Amino acid sequence: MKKILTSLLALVCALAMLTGCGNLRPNDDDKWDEDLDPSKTQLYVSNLKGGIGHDWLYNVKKRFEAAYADHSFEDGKTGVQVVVDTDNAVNGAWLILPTSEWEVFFSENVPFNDYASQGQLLDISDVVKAPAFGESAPIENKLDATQKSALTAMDGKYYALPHYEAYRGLSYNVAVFEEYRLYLADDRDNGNNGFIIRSTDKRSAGPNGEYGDYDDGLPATVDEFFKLCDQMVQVGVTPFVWPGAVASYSEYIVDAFAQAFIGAEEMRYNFTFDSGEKTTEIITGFDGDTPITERIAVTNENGYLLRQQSGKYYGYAVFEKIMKNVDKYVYSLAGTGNTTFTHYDSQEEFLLGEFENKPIGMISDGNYWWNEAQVSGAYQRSVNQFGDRAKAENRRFAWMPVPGVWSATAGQTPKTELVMKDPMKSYCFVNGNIADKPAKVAAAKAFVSFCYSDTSLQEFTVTTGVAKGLEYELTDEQFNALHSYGRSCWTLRKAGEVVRYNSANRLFMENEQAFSAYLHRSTVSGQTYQTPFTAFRDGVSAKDYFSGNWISRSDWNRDYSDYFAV
Amino acid sequence: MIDMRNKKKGKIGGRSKMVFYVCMMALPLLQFVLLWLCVNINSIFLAFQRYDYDAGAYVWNAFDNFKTVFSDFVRVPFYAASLRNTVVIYLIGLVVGTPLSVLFSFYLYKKMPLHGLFKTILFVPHILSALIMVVLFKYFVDRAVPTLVELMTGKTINGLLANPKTTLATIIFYNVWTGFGTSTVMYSSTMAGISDSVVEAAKLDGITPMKELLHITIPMIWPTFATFVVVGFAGLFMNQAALYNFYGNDAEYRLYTFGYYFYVSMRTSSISQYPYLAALGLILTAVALPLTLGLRKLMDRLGPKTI
Repeated sequence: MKKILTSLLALVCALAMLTGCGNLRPNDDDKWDEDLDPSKTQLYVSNLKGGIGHDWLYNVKKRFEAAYADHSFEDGKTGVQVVVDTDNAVNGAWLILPTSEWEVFFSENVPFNDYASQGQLLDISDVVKAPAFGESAPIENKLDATQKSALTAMDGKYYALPHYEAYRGLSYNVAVFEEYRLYLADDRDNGNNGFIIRSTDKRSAGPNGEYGDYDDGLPATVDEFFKLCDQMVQVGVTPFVWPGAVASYSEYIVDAFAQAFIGAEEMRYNFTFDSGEKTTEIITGFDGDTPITERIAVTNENGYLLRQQSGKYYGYAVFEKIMKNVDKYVYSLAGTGNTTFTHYDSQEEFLLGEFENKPIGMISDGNYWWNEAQVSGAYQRSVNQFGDRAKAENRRFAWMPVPGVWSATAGQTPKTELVMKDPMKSYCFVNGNIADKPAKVAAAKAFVSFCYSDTSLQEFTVTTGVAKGLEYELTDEQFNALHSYGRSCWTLRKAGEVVRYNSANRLFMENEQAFSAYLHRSTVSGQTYQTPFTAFRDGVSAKDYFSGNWISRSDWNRDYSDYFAV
Repeated sequence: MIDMRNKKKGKIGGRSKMVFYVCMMALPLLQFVLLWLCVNINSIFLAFQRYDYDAGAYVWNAFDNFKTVFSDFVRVPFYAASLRNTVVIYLIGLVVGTPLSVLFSFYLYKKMPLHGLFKTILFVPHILSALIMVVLFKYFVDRAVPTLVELMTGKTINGLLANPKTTLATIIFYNVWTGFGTSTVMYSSTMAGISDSVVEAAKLDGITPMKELLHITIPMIWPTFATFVVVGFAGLFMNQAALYNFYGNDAEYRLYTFGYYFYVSMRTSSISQYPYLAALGLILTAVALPLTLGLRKLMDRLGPKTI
């Protein structure tokens, strides 16, 4: 018996090893999700497996294959077959393109300049400068000036096009806000602490200072924001949730407030390192707890001062105040940094809280959280448990524009510019390893052109609820087809300024990672912190955390003097 | 006649021995050349280069990366924490984990009560994938432990990983616990090879179990023991202490080890940052190599002379 068991075990081990060694499948075709049609040209398209999903790509595939059904990309073949990679979980920075069998990529966190400089991406300038499929204006017209210069900064050629656009910050549950009357009233002396009494009450102008739009009734100052938090606590709503297991999600609150205080144009200096004739406000020190400020013009030589932008301090100050009230403001597993409470759990709590009499007002996450909640099954579980009222069409969520003003005096109308920052570095590009295969190149370029037609861009947004990082419009019908959260994000995107992680400055391009990762690292009293969450929990002040995040002039010179003007 | 036959046999034996030797050594040598030499030679070259975006290639950069690394040892505060944690985790593994492991192996070897059950408990971490183990462990220390404490004492406490005061100790415990199984298997297997006659003779002389462990078992397993100590030290700067499984890219700096720093840096760096990491790796190798060789000599010297 023992011998038989041992032999079986050995066999299992051997099979496991062989499986690891290579493809045990009967033929190579089986590795694709669909049968390959030898009469057509195949185009292999890889799409990052994530919150955005693959539905949008299958929609494009269907239309593209139909549009090119009678077109021949190579001798002896008619039509094209798009083969979709549904299992690509490889981050865009980790692709091994020269040996990859995938030809067109849609991914995120793509260091396209790194790939392009190594000749690993196909030049798609002709596609970008020509009209998209079925259109008359070039795709390039859908890019803004910053995108155009950043995408061509390496050598004047286009190697990538923006894929989806995502933002990180706070989203709120509109139904909870309405049910618990959490909107600020225009009449601050209405006897309800300044919050609306009836849903029909006139709401305050909100952060943008204008009535009748997307942010009415939302806090216009930080003081009002905390008044809202206190009101939530009073009526039994937990203000915040984020994943305790990934404390960096709480940084999105810091960033949201920082960018609201700084504004879009001055945020962009963090990537361009060039403010021209204009200036940005920095903090040079503190008089007690009062910041000492001055305005500076930004150049490559003094880029280190951008860590001292005053808005960044206010971002930390807001979060410090939240952390000082963590027990009452933050969902317990988030506030204690529980390592089992993941982003999926956080999304599920946010979704279910409304029905379980444990309402949560705001979630700190990316605007892709809604898609992720569907992919993870949280949404379906909420529908299974609570029926129709939990269905997407009956849920109401929205992106929260936060104030960039701390306090306002009576009679003053505070105004905050709406800034949507897209840190995802999500791009579409073509693998350079097909450059010597004319049929593949033609098919890939045709596909990219097809994907960037207005029809495809609109279809992407309607399918995913997420925008592509280009300029295009939605029809009323398409807009109304979005769920409430998608409508909110789209509205804000159109109303605000989008700031993207890109620049044509070599200093940024060649050191992109240094300016996009671990930006909240701070050293206070010899202790280095990864996130303000941990530091504030340890009792570190916003002032010290902010100061500990600065870069010294000597360090900057050591690392980047090669980029200084001679 | 006899001499001739012996000569012939010797020749045949020599050739076949050589064929056997070549066959046995070819694969490990190939593996060494491909997976160590080629990979590391590239890293060694990389340490003296920088990435030139215009050339689209790495170009000669002399010792600049080394200068940067040396200045970072003073400049970057979490390097000190990484070094401290790296050494602490190794030393706790050595001082606490190793003796416990030897004791446990001896317990299993002597087939003492419940040895089968303990064997299973020890092997569980090795049957399950590391990621699943980490998830289970996280749920245990961050959910079950606070609940148990609350049930038993009525006090609300934070999870052991969630509480910054206990995080590092919990991580160290996890590493010692999960590292236990491998060494226990090795030690108990080696102990099983100890000649019964030696043990029987000692028993006739009235040896106690503790004396048997100290004077017979440990000297007999000394080569295995020494190998564990030396190999553990050789991998000192590569030990990421399962931090990636616990935290992904986001472990707090106070938990960092150099192994984790390397791993996360490789995952988050761009091509222009690889040469810096290569230089740092080379410097740490330069530190670890002589120490490892010294430790091996020391272990040889400390070991029983009669083996």
